[in-house]
Amino acid sequence: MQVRRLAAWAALPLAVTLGLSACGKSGGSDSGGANPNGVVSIGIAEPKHLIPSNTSETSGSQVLAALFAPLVDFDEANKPFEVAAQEISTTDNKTWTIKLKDGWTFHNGEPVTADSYINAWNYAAYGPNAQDNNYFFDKVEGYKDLNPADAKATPTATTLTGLKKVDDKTFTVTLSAPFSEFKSQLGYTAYYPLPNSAFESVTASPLVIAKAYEDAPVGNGPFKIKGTWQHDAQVEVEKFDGFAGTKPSIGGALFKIYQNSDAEYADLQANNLDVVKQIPTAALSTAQGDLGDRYQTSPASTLQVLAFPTFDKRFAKPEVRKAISMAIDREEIANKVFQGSQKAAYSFVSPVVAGYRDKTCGAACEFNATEAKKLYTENDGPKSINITYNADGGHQEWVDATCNQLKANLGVECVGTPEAKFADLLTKAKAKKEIGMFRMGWVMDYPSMENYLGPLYSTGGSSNYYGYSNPTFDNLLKEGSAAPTQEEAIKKYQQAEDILAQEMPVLPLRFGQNVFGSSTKVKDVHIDLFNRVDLNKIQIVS
Amino acid sequence: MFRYLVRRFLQMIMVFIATTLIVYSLMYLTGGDPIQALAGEKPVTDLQRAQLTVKYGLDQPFLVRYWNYLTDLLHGDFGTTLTGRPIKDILLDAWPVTMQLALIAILVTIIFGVTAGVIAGIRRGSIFDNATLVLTLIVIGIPSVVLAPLAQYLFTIQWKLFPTTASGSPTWYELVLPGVVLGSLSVATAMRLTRASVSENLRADFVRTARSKGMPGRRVIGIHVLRNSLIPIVTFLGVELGSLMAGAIVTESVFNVPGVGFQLSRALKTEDTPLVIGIVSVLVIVFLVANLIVDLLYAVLDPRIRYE
Repeated sequence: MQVRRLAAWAALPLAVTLGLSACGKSGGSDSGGANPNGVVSIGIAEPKHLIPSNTSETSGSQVLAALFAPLVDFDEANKPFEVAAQEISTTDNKTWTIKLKDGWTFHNGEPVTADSYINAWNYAAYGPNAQDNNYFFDKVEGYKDLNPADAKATPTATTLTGLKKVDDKTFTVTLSAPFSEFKSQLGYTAYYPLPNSAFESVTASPLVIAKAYEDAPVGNGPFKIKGTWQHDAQVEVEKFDGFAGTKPSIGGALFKIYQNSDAEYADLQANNLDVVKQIPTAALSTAQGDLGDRYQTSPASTLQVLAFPTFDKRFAKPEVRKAISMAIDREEIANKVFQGSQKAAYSFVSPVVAGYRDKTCGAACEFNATEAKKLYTENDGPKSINITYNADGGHQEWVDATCNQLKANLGVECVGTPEAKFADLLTKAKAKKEIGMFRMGWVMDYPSMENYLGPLYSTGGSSNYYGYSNPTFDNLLKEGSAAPTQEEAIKKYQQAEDILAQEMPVLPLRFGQNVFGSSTKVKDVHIDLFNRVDLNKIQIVS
Repeated sequence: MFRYLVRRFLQMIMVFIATTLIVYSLMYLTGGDPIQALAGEKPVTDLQRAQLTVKYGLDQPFLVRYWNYLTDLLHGDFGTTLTGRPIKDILLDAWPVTMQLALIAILVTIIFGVTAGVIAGIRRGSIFDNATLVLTLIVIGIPSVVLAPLAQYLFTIQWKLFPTTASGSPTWYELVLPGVVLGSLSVATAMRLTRASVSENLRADFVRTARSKGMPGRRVIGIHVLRNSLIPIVTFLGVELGSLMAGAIVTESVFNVPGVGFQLSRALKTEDTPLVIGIVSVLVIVFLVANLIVDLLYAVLDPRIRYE
């Protein structure tokens, strides 16, 4: 199974995007020195779990990002650089050697060793543990033995054969096929290490997480937990003095848990909360006025598309798909329906990844009503179309707006068809039922073009619900994964993207962005591509 | 009296079983796919699905699951949420908070609603009567979804009189504003009910008799009018406890009060079936007990009512 994560629209109602303008401008006033011992309060939702291998939503990963230091992080250009790792090297993209930095310890004093990673990853990959991030390890050799095809069978192995300890500070990861983007992948939450104390017994096989661990996770990061996770109330972390990496310029962080984003925003307005990571939709129109320059935006990785079921005869011709794409005025919808909180998209990959090019979709994505109608009529496009969407994610408004544009510009009948849940929509698409066009959203797992192409369009890709299949495209992706350098990999991925532009299995609509706000007490607020506040950059105005 | 109580307890057990069965079947038969709900919009791997299905006993027949649930409940075990937290812990945290909130709300209702109602009932047609009638019309017309955010904006952001949201273990001060908002929803009804009841009793024969015997006005109102007027009000307050819980869903969300309404709305949002059922089970018990207390209070208020 490929690495995959569909846009968590329900959790992140109005997500995120936009242009390459790097991170948002710094918030707050620049006057006044910073207070290195102050505590920043950040609004989150109740995390589902606080175990790296089981945390895939933004609230939990925000807390874990404070408690853990990743092997790699991403620079301004979203290329990976080493944090907890000294060196990550490979000669064939298949066997990766990871060397750890010296002198790193967990919050309880245990040294961080190769075993800390191997144990954590084995636990994550072991099927019966049913961890949310289990699929992140599917490229590692031996994964199949831990996750038998018959779900009820007991796995034949409890550890990944691809993970080998060389010495205390070095281990190797062998993948089942070359994958040039593996280093980028290592920046994800699933790859944090776990101390021995996290397990009931480190010698047990399979490993079992100790019961008390989740309420007070011990990590290797810049902050350690203060007390325990107070469910539905807060998680507080304080600076860890023994941290060997770059030290943050705040004394700690208080993650305040909200169930309702409007309550969270009300606390920000009252200056009781320092950062709101996603301003609620209802407040978007007034937030800019309320907050002034404390209202900020930054690029996020979300991409919204309209997908064509390629198995449906009505949409079999690429020209018909192109005509529909040309009949949509993306700018108008982004500005009117989304009040500029999303940006019109003209490419198949997000601007946040290396290798992104603007307007790869070409003329097919440029709004041109007359050309669109001509092309549509010439190719005998269907007289009536529908767009299926999930009713629980706030999509009705833009789907209706899109339909109205299609009606006006192509002279066709168009209706939005709601499904109760996104899962229902996907089940129907999988079963190749007649659902017409349907919405899809994508949030990346790691910053790489591959993550926007492989899972979505490769034959049998984990989120390829359109039944799209093109051997040339598949080959280009494979060549990219095996390419010796990132530059060469990007070239292959770009060629693959060009094929999408010709065949249009989906039409790109919008890139999301983080729309966030901060109080007068903090400055230098940055939100990264994973909708997390960068705790290394944020400062408290004293 | 004792026989009456025994009969009532037997009835309560049957009502409890029937209501939980209904809720249980509704949640499980129409609730969709709890495992997919847990994963959000992410696809669930077949293996993960199989593991979770066994873990939550979703592969067993409906009646077996319901039976297991009931027997666990008898042992005080509410099971775990879909994320693995014991529901008992959540309930133990949430109920005291909601009880505090409900207490404030009921006090607000009694102090403002009942008092104003009594005054208005005695002085029918006065300026006070007309003014409160108009006021209650306005309050009755505003639903809690509007009232709560409005009060929050005015009293905490504009004028900074109260904290904007409650903390994890809220203090009384933090609960005052949400409590008042919650209580104000029933103030209007309580006031009108009291007013009608008082003015009706003022015209009753026994009041005229008491007056004609030369009883002082204060005593007539205190003993003969008020005591008899309280019966419909007590009934209303008992039933209102239920609506307070429903109103708490909105109010607790707006003020981030980690009570039962907060948990229930989250459980519904994330389709956490075991948590919904756990909360509803306790809600049913609260309803039943409140109604029992109301029925027993009748006898205290009106000596003509006796339970055999």
